[in-house]
Amino acid sequence: MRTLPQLPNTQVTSLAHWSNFHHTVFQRPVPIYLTPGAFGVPAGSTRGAAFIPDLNAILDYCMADPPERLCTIGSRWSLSNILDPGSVLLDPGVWNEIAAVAPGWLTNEYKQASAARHGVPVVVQGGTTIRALNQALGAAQLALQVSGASDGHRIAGCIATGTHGSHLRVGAVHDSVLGVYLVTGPNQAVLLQPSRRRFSPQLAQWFQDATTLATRDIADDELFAAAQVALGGLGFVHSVIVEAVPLYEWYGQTLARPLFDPAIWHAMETLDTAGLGSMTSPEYFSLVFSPFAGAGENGAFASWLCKQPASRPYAAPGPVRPRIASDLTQLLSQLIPLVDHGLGAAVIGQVIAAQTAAQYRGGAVAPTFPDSTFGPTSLPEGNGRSVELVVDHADTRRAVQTTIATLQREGRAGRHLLGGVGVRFAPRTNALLGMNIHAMNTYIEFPSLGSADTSTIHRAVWQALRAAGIAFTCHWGQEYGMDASSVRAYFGDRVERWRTARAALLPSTAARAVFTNPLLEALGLS
Amino acid sequence: MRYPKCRVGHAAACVRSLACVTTLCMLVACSSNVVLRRRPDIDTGPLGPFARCAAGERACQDDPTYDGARFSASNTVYFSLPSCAYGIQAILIQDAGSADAVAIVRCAAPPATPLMTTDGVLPTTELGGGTSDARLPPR
Repeated sequence: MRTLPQLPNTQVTSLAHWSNFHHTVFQRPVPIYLTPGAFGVPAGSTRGAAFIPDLNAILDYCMADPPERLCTIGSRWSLSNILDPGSVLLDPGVWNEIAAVAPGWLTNEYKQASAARHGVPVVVQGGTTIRALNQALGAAQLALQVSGASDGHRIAGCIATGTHGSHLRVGAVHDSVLGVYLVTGPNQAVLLQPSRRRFSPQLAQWFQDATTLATRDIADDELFAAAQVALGGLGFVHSVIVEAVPLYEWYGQTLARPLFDPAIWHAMETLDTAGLGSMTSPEYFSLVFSPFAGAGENGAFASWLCKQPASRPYAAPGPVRPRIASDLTQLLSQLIPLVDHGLGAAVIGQVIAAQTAAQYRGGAVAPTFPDSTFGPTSLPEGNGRSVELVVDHADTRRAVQTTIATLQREGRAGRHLLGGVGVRFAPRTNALLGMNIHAMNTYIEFPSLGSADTSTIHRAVWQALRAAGIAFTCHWGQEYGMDASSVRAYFGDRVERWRTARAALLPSTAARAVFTNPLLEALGLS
Repeated sequence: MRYPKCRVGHAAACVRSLACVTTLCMLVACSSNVVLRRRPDIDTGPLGPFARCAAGERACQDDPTYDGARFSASNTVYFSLPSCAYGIQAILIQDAGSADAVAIVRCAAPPATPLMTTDGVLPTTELGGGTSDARLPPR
């Protein structure tokens, strides 16, 4: 390994054991763990520019011959191998500044297009957590339009893997992104936005002044659409510009019904919740199914939410504690398959169904701010497993039926998924590798505790869907049953368009070798 | 706390062990781990690797293991830290390990005005209550 250059404002550590949040990447050695800003901001410097010399030096080091892959982490939530580190890992947490874009730098076209929703473009550096962003926006009487299910992830990682929520009109988080500021090499950066500009060139100049990086201002639909879901493969995501809206509250209802309740399945197919008793057309709709619920028990849980203007001063969410201890999840995961294969198999199914029902009781959802609705996770680190399938909404019934039937069949064979099935929705995206490529899209997620049987169960579902002829892809940030050909089959020419954009943004072989990862390589995207 | 590793055929023994451990903990209300953390409303997320600080006020070292699962182990009691404007000066965990554990937190004072600058200039008092960098007259 080459000698690192001097990095005066970066902590350099060697780790013997690095693990991701869910331990799907476990105890990897990381010889070079880099944390710019760990010693604070050097006196006399502005934070925006203070760490750029170190970043340039890191990129110089990685791009030297032979190139060294640079793994830039978010909050380590991805379960796929996208963050399986190589020798060099960069923690970009110091890049967490937030600033609204000066109104004078917005184009008239954008102002008109966003007037109805009162959109406010906000520059958010890539290391900013959704929680910190929510706090800053809330204090300014603003909010994100959509986020994932929790708030601990960093914005760059959040959009890089297609985090989506279940907003029926806005789409995924990457669909609320207006621009992306990428560092593509030492002292090389680019501000990407669509050809119908949102920002005047003053914004790119501002980035250049703030960072000291030579910055190109590019308004190009293909490059922007590639960068919306970048998969860590287009450069260092320094900042994104997201569109915030005036602060609002969610209110709505959760309804608990038996597993195959016709009204719930009808709502899932039509996204019309009137049959469930909803008085208005919701903006958010999601479902949870408990595949092992017995006859007469509640096993389908529908939640729909509507927005209302904030009715009270903003208040941040309170602390939450882990729902279950991390070491206990590991113990249970070791014990349950042993019981599962014996006389207690039926009992395990009942326990899982009862736990799911206890979490999703029916009733009204009182108005809450979005960062309380989708707030701090109570999931303990370690031992989580999850797959998420994405299908054309037209295939929803067949895909959900196939998934549930497979999980039930696996359970009867003594292999229980230690979790439930979540179903969420989002409309079409322009992002080339956004998973929501259809007019309306259905996400079918089955998160669980890990056990010796989990991988077998995942494979059984993928196999059953293929046998049923249902086209699907998998969430980039979760465990996936895809290969290069199945990714191309789902995304069509979007794959080659994304690769073409990548070659344009990273023209050198060395740059592409630095900004790659095992997921890109396994799926033919590198 | 570490539980015994289970092998096929030993499930029942493991369940019994778990029951014993759980019962024991309930009896003594043990909380062998303490997590002090920022409240969500001021949390900006983590930065960098973990530090490992041994007793005896030895200098903290980089922890060679990066695994946040240690923060959600069994028998953990959680405290939210106050938002001290200038960081924390000291933390006392009273009765750690009992059900009555309590955290006493002392905030730090703001950084002192430099008493001596690098070129040896001592700030001097001036009218209005402020200070200036004027040199003291030689004695």
